[in-house]
This record gives sequence, C-alpha cells and structure tokens, in this order.
Amino acid sequence: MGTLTRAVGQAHARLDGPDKVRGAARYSVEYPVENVAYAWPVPSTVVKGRITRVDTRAALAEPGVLAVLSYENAPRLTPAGDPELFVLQEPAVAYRGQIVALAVAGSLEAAREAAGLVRLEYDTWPHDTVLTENHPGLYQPSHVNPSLPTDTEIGNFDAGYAAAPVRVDATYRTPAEHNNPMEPHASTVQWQGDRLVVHDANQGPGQVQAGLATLFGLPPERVRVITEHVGGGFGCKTMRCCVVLAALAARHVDRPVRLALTRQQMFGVVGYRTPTIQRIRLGADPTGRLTASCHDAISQSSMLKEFAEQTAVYGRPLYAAPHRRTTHRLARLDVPSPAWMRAPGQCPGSFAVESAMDELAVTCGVDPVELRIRNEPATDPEEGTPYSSRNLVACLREGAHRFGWADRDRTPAVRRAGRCLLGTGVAGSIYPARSLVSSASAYAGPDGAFLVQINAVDIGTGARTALWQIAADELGVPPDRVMIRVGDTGLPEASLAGGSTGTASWGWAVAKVCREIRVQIDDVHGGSVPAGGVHAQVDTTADIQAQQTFSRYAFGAQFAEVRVDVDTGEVRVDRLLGVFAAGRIVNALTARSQLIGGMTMGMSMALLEEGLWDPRSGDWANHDLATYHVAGCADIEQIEAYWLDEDDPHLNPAGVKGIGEIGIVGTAAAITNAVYHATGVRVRDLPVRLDRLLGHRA
Amino acid sequence: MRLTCTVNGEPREVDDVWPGESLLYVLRERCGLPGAKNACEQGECGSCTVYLDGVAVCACLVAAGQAEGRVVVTVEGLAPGGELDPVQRAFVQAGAVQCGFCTPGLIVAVHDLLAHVHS
Repeated sequence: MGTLTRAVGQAHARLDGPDKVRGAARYSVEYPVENVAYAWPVPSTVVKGRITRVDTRAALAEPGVLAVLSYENAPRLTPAGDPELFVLQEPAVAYRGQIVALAVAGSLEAAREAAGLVRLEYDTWPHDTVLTENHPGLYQPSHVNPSLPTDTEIGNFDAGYAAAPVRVDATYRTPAEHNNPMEPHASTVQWQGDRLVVHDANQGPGQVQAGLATLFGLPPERVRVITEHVGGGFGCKTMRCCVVLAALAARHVDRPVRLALTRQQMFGVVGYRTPTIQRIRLGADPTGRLTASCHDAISQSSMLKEFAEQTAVYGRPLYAAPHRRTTHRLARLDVPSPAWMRAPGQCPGSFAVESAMDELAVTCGVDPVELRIRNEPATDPEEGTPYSSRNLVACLREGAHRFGWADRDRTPAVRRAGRCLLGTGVAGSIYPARSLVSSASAYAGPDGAFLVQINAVDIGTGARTALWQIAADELGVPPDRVMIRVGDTGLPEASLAGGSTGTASWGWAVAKVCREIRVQIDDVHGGSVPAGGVHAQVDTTADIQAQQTFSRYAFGAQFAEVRVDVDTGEVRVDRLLGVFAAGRIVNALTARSQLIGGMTMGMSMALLEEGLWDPRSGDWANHDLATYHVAGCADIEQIEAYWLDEDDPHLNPAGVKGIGEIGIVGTAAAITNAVYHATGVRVRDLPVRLDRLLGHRA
Repeated sequence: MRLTCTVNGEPREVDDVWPGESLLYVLRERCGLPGAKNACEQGECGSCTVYLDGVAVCACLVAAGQAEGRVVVTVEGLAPGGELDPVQRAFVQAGAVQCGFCTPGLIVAVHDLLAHVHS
C-alpha cells in the first residue's frame, strides 16, 4: 500500500460542500413531486380550553382548497409516546399555538389563505404560564433527562456548607431560548398504496420512521424516511408534529403533501429551551478549595408532557467537594412543551456553576483559572469512577497561555479605553461522551471501489465527511475510492443525531464494518476482491454493552474579552477563545466550524437571546428573527477554537468524544464573568441586556 | 398574471402568478430554482438573497410583479455549468458551509460585497 496518508485528522472540505454552494443540494420540500398539495397549520388562539365548534365553510369555499382537517375529521392516530405528535385527534387545547386545524390546497397561497379563514370556537379556562421559584406546582420528577437521577447527595451538604469559612449563595436565571435552525421544519409526504414515503428535515430518520409507523399503525418497513440534507437542528429536529400533519393531510386528500413551517410557527410548536432558575451554594476554605456545593435547579414543562431539563447534572462530575447536593424541581404550566436544545442541561447549568465559581474566586481573591485547577478531582466525585481521560486543567492552562491570561489584574472596573470598560473572563466546560448502538454495511467492488452505508444523518455537522474519512482509514485506501451514503431508512439502522453522539456511535459501526470487509478480503478471499464483490453488515450492540465503566467526558476552557460602553451599556465581545479536549478530531475543518458555531451560539445566549413571554395572552411576545435576536457575523470580532491531542483508548474505535455541543457550554459564563471584570456588575439573569448593566451605573 | 423576466441568463415567461406572491416563491415553486431559501420571510436572515438588476435583494421581500421585465440572478446562476465561482470555491475550502441552508444567500451577498470592494 506504500505510504498512505491517514484521512482522519485531515482538514477535508466537506463532501456536500460543492452542492450546497451551488444551491443544488436538495432539502426536504425541494424534491420535484407530481400533483403535490400544500398544507398550512392553524394554531390555537386560546391558551387552555376545548374546541366547541369548527367552522370550515369559508375556508372550503376558497378556490383550490382541498380540505380542512381538525380533530373532527382527521385520520385517527395511535399514540406514539410523545403527546405532541398526537395532533388533530382531540378537542382539548393545552397551550396557545398548538396546532388545531390544517388547511390543504393545491397551492401554498391558497392553503395559507384558507388557514386564515378557519373559524374555531372554544370554551376556555384561566391559565397559569409563569415559572417562579415558589410556584405551588413545583414537584420532584422521577428522573431528569435523559434518564438521570433527579436529586443526588454525597456527604452532608448542610453541615459542610455551615462549617465553610467562605460561602457563595447566588441565584441565576436563564430565559426561554429558541433553537432556530436556519431551515424550518419541512416535510414532503407521499402515500404509495399502504407505503409511506417521506422526505423530512430531522435529526433521526429512524426515529421518524418508528414514530410514523406507530402513529399510522404500519409495520416500520412500510415507512421510508429520506433525509439527505438538513438545514440545522440544534435539538429541535428530533421528531416533531410537522411530518405527522403532512402525513395526515396526504392520507386525507390522497395526494402528496408538502408542509414547511414558517419561522413564526416554529416558535410555538417545535420546542424551546426551558427557562431556568438556579440557586448555587458553594462553601470553600480561604484558598478556594471547595468543601460543599449545592445546585438547585427549577424548570418548566407543559401540561402535555413531562420534560425535565437536566440542568443541575452539569456540576456532578466536574469539581471536587466532599459534601455535595443537586436537586431538580419542575412546574407543569399551560405552555408549549420545552424540548432539547444544544447541550440541554449542561448549557444553562454551566452558566450558573461557572458564574458561581467566578464569584468564589473573587471572594477568595484567587485567580479563577487557578481556582478551577485547585478543585480538580482525581475520580468522578459523584460516581467514584475513573475518567477515561480528563484534561480540563490542560485546557485551562493552554487557553490561559494562548489568551495571554498571565498577569491579569483581578480588580474589576479599572480598565478603560475611551467610552468603554474592558474585562476578561474564563469558564470551564464539560459534556458527556457517549456512544449509542448503530449498524452499518459495506461493499467492496472488484473495481477497487467501496460503498459504506449507514442511516446516519448529517444535519450540517459534517458527519457524512467524517464517516467517509474514518471508513477510508479503516479500509486502508485513499478516500476517493470510498463512497458513503447516509440519511435514508433504507440503509442500516443507526442512532439519531443528538447529544454529540453521532460520530462516536456511527463511526464505531463504520469502523467495525470496514474492518470486517478487510478481514473477509484478506482471510477469505486471499487478498483480492472476487468478481461478485464482498459485502458485510455489523451492529455495535455487543461492543457497547462490553464497555468498561468509566466517566467519559469532553472538557474545555472558554476565555472571553469584552468591551462595555459606559453610556449605552452595549457589550461587544472582542475575543472568544476556547480550548477543548474531545478525543481525536476527525476533520479539522468541520470540527472548527462545530466548535466556533457552539461558541457563537453561547455568545448569542449571553447577550441576545430571550424568549419574551406575555403572561396575559399566554404567548411568546417575540416570535420571529426580527424580534428574537440571534448573533450574526457582525457580532463576532475574533473567535478561536483549539483542541488538545487526546488519545483516549476507552471510547470507541474512532477515539472521538463528540464536539457538537461542548462549544456552547460555559461560553455565556465566560462572557458574564468578563462583564463583571470590566464593570464590577454581576449579571445573574441572562441575557446581559443594556438595562441590566445601566441600572447599576454609579 | 404572466411574469416576464430573465433568470440566470434565460428569458422566462411564468404564467398564473398571483400578484401578491414573492419573487422567492416564483423562483422556488414556479421556476424550479430552490437555491434561494425561505428561512424567515421578513428580510432578516438573507438566506433568499438574489440579484435583481445587479442589486442584491432579499427575494422574500420582492413582490413577483416587481421583477417584471428585469434581470434576476440566483446562486444557481453565478457560475456556468458545473463550475464554481471563486466565492463558492472559497466557501467550500474555508469550511464556511455547514448545514448549507443560508449558504446560497450568503454567497450572493459576499459576491456582491466583493464586487463593490473591487470597484
């Protein structure tokens, strides 16, 4: 084979890049379909109630309108676990914006017009939509997401905290935040006899296949979900009602149906990050060594379902303290169901914990990098297990070096440039490194080409390209001899894109099947591929069950430099720098994009993003990109992401930990810590709005 | 109504256009050019950016009738055949493409920006 350069570790441009820059990549409502009809949802205009009358006469009188679906006439579904998917089945309304009817027409404009003409009457009841720390409905859920203990206690927190010479007790709040992937949820659905063919924007074609099969009472093999390109997800493109509505409409009108949500509709029905109220108590000795820590987290869910954000999970494996407690309480309100959003739990949790660590550093007069190093545990402080690898300290040191942290004057509000106060801040970062069961197939052709297939999904992460690189290395051939196919339930079943598990899980199956192909070629066929080719398929169930017990996490350190205008309160982030230890980095180009994308989203969370709730109308007051601000290019000055070479043998064959989420973890705290350093004002409620700074002006 | 305009160098006659619909809708649903994307429908995100008589516009904010008799260039028309414009190539090489949904609009916007810088 000579000297073959390994593909893994190279900065390969993504395989789908040329199609995407030409506008030739097809998203879910862009496939040409004959005789397609269009559906337009009708949201409820009441918060809590029951539909008493559905008047579709005006809507049906519009030219081109085919049908109006509601609970009265929609095809019947079988519940599939998530009540948000059980659409148009019942007259009950659980939140404002819930889809209560669906107009279907031969053109998009006719469907939209008809949707506006549907008249609904309701009985309504008083609603309760505001989360507070003393809400009478707060309760202890049986577990928090995904299936973690609700509360934990090691040692005796109360005694440890009472005895601590230095204490921090602060409450932090994060608002509701909306995922806002660039592509709204979109589906094209065709019934072909009793088979369902779906082009859908999602993070798990297999999940959508299983969900539709249950809802419509079909064997899964009669549902095919194709997800070639997805315009982002950030958690909100796990299965949602959009595809179910399209399938109901297509069955009802007996035509293919397209449904793309508008940006405005997304705010109501695709989930959001719950607001959180988090109390942190830290007890320490005068040098900043933690003796006690407690994280009490409060969040909300809807009346439809329990979604328990795992906010206080963040600190469980992170910093050492002999006495420690975490708790979660949840209130069920008359609100839309919250759902997964990039680094669920870890992201809001890190804001509170990493802010409190900064407050402790200030109280103790200890450098905040050094404070974190002093609280480095030898083993997982709650599980007692060893880490497969833990390089938080290395990230902090490397970051401090690159950022120029040495000799930082800790005094707040003393650096000034013109109208601006300047400051710097730091935060730690941790995210679980998990692998899920997946399967993959590979085919070696007699012409020397290889085809690797797996129902993974590339939601923009670069997964397709990373898996192609892993396959090439495992096959021991140049990547241009390998073709990879993803995003189709006709391919071997694989886990969904979530929790930063994709490359670890799919890469495991891909590596395994490629090794199997090599064994077959070498051992069975004497080193050459026979005329009929060689085929193999594997899954990783046994491999994942056989994993040894370790605490597996990626780590990072985030540094920020800010400039605060003393007259306007405007905060500009002059520099963001992150250093990450996340196992092996498969593709330097796509990895950098993932990390700086996460950091940018964290900056957006710190300064801009806030779902504003109107308690009277029980609705989001801001529900578009003009009023819900998301960071754009002009908000970013200098942004840098680095990673440490990390060779962790306890992960998976590709040696990866996942990088989709860690970039957003800790970022907001690094920025608010820098804002404190700049101004002396500690902002504990996100985002850092102008009024939250100017209110403290001397 | 009938809309007559030039799209990516080709004369087009598009029938049954509703006067209230957007140029973006005409391009995506009637001309078979889904490159420009609908992501916010209010001119905030720029995913639908195209050239209209050489000016970069958000196609979601342009009424179809405003394109009558004018020249439209979309991301599909920036480079001939299977070639890539230097801006398109640079996006791929720099890793400035991820999910790709806003990419067509960003490419037209950057193409326009650079044209102004050179002049």
